[in-house]
Amino acid sequence: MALQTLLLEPLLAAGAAQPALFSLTNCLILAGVIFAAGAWGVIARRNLLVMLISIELMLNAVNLAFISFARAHANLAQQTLQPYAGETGQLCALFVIAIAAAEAAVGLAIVIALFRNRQTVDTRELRTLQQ
Amino acid sequence: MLNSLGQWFESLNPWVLSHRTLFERTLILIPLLPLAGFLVNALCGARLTRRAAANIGVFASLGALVYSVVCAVALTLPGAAADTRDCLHAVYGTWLRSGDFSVSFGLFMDRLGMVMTLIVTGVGTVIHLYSVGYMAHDPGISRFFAYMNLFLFAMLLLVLGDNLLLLYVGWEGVGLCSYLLIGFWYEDAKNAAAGMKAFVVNRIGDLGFTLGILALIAIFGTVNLVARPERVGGQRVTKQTYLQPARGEKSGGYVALPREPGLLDYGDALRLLSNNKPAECYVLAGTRLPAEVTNFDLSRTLSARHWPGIAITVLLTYACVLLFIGAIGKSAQIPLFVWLPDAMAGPTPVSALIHAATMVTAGVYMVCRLNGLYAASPEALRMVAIIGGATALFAALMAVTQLDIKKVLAYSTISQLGYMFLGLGVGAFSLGIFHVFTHAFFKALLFLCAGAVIHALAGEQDLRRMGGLRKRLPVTFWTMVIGAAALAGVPWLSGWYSKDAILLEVLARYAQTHDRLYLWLYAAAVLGAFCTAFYIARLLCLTFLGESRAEPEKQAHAHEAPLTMALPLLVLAAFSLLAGMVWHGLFIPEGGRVSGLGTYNISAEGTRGVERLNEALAFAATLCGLALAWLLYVRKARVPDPEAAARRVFYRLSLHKFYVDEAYQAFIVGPFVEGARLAHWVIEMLCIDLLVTGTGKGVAWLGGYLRRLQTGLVNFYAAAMLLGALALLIFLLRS
Repeated sequence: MALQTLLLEPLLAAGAAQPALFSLTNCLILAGVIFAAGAWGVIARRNLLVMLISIELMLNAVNLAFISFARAHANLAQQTLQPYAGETGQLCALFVIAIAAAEAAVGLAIVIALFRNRQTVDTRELRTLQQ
Repeated sequence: MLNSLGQWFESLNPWVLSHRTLFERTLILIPLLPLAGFLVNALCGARLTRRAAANIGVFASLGALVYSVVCAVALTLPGAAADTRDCLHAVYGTWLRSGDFSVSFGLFMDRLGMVMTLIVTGVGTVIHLYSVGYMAHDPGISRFFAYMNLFLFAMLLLVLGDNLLLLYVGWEGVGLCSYLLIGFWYEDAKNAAAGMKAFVVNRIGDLGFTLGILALIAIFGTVNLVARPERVGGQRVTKQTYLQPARGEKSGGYVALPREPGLLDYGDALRLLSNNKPAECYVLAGTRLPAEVTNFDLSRTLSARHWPGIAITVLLTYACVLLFIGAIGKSAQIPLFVWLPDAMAGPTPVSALIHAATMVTAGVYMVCRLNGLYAASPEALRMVAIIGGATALFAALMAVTQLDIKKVLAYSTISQLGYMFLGLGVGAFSLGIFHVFTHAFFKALLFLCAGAVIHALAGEQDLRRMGGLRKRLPVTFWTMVIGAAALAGVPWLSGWYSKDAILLEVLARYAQTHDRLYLWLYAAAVLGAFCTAFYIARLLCLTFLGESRAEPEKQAHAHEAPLTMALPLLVLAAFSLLAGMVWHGLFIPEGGRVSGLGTYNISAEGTRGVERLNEALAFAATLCGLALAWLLYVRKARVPDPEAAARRVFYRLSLHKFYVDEAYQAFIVGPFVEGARLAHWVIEMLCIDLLVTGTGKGVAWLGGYLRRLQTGLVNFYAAAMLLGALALLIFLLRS
C-alpha cells in the first residue's frame, strides 16, 4: 500500500489534470512507445525474423491506438447522430488483426524461401539489389 | 544550180507562211527534245547499252538542230520582204503573278535568238557526235550525255526565253551543268574542286545579276524582253500586225493599242519615260542617234512609273552595271575569270561546248539582248569596254607561256570573250555576236583537235612532251591549222572578219570622240591580237612540228582519230573557213545602223578614214605574232623551259597568271576559311557541343550521385519509408 502510494503520488501530482491511469492520452503514449520500439527493431536489427516480429509489434501498437480511440469515444454515436460511429475503431482493429496474420504468413514464407536459397537471414548478406 | 535552189526555196514560201503559227506554237520543241534526252538518259541510263545512251544524246541534239533550222527558215523565208524586227513568239501561260507584276512562260525567236539557237544546237550536235568517239570507253557515258542534254536544254531556255527571269533560269541551269560536267570524273578530288570553283565564282557574278534584275523590275515593273501577242477586239494581234503601216499614228510604223498593266517590255518603258519620243531618251544619254530603235516594240501607251528627282539614266546605269557583273562571272572576265582554266579538268568535249562556244557567251548574249538599255547608259558601256579590253590583253599575255595545251586554249577563250565585250562596249552590239558566232566554230574546233591529240597520245597534255605529230595525225593537223588561222586573224577566214570589225569600231570611236580611253583600248586590243597569233602558232609548232618529245611508246601508238571524231573536225573547219565570208552581211550593218540581227549599233560615224589604217595594223600584228612564233619554235626549235626562264620577271608573271589565284587565296579565300574555322570553334565546339554533351554528362553525374540510395539493405528501405510517412504526416498536420 505504501509502495503504491510512493509510485503513484508523483504521477498524480504531475498529472493533476489527468483523471485516471487509463486515460486516452496514456493509452496513446503507450501505443506510440510500442510503435517506436517496433520501428527501431525494423530499422536497426539484422535478423529478418526479428524484423518480422518488430513489424508485428508496430501493427499491435496501431491496434492499441484504434481500440483506445474506440473506447474513449464510445458515445460518438449518440453525440454525432451517426450510426456505428463509435464502433469504427473496433472494426479497424479487427481488420488489422486479419491483415497482420496474412502478412505474417506471407513474410514467413518469404523468409523461409530466402533461407533455403541463401542459407542466411542476415540482411547484410542479402544485398543483391545494391547498385 | 543556185538559182534553181533559190527558186525551190521561194516555192516553199506560201506553205511556210501558212504554217507559221504552227512553228510559232511549237517553239517549245526546241528545248524540249534535249530535255527528253536528259530524262531518258538520267532515269534509264543504267539499263541502256553504251551505244543506246550515246545515240539518244546525239539524236536529241540533232532533233533540236533540225527544228531550229526549220524555225529559222520560217522566220527568214519571206526574204527581202522580211522585217529584221520580226520574230516567232509563243506564250505558254502565266508563271508568276503578284499584284500587277506578272511573268509568263514564253519563248521567242527573233534574228538574234535564231543565230544563238543555231550556234548552240549546231555546234552542240557536232560536239555530241564527237563525244561518242571520245567517251566511248568511259563507264559513265550515259551520265555524260544526260548532263550534256540538260545543258542544251538550259542554254536553249536562256536564248529563247522571252523574259529576263526565264533567261536567268537558263543562266543558272548552265552554271549547274558546267559544275556537273567539270567534275564529271569526280573520283579525283581535283576535278571536284575545279567544279566547285567554277560554280562558286559563277555564283558571285549571279548575285550582281539578281540585283540587276530586281533593279530593272523596280525601274520598269516588268521583265519582258518583247511585247506580248494579245487579243484585241476578238482578233489575235501579234508583232506581224504591228508591221502594218500605221494610219494616222506616228510611231515608227506601229499600231498603238491599249494594254493591260504589267505586260510592258523595256522598249515601251524607255519610250514612255522619255515622253513618247525615243530619240530623247538617248539624247539624255548624250549620244546622238536617229529616232529608230528597232529591237523593241514601241507600240503601247500606258502610264509609266515616275522616279522624281533621279534621272532615268542613273538608275539604268546601276541596273546595267549589276547585270554586267553577272556577265563577268559567267563569261570569265576580269576579275572573275579564275574558274575557266581550272575548268579544263573536265572532258575535252565539255571544254569545247561549254567553255568555248556556248555557256561563256551567255553574258555577251544578255548584253546584246538588252542593247537598248545599255545604249541608254553610256557609263555602263564604258565599263563593259574597259573590262573587255583589259581581259582581252591580260588573258592573251597569260596564254603566251602556258605549258598545258588546254590551258592555252582556256586563256585564249577568256581573251576572245574580252574582244566580244570590247565590241559591245563601243556600241557595236551585232559585232559582239558576230565574234561569238565565228569564235564558236574555231574555238570548238581547236578544243576538239586538242582532244584528238590528247586521245592519240593517251592522255598527254603537256606541250613539252609533244611534237612531230604532223605526219601521224594529218586530219587533226590541217583542221587545227585552219582553226588557228581563224583565231589569229588570217585574212578572209571567219575570225578575221569579226575581229577586224571590232578593232575598226574601237579605232573609229577614238577617231570620232578623241577620247584617250579608246586609244588605250585599241592599243591593248592590237597587242592582244599580236599575242593571240603568237601563242596559237606556238601551240601548233610545239604540238605538231619538229622532233617528237613524247615518250616512245606514246608516240608509237599515236593514231588518227576515228570517223566520229574526225567528221566534226571537218565540219567545224569548213565553217571556220567560210562562215565569215558567207554571213558577214548579216552582222555588219551596211549603210544604216540596223544590223541584220535587228540590233541597233551605236557605231561611230565616219569609219571610212580609219579602215585602211586598222586593216594594216591588225594584219601587221597577226603577221608579227606568227613570224615570231615560227622563229622561236621552228627555226630555233626552242622547247618551253620554265626553270631556265624563271629569271625573267615577265615570264614568271605570265606563267603564274599574274598571281591572281594566289592573291585571291591570300586575301579572300584564306580569311574566309579561317573565319569559318573560328565560327566552327566558337559556335559549334563551345556553344553547341558544350550544351549538348554537357547536358548528357550532367545527367550522368546526377545519376551517379543518386545511385548511392540503392543500398540493397532492407533496413535502409524501411527507414526511408518511415521518414517519408513522417514527412507526409507533418505536411498534412500543418496544413
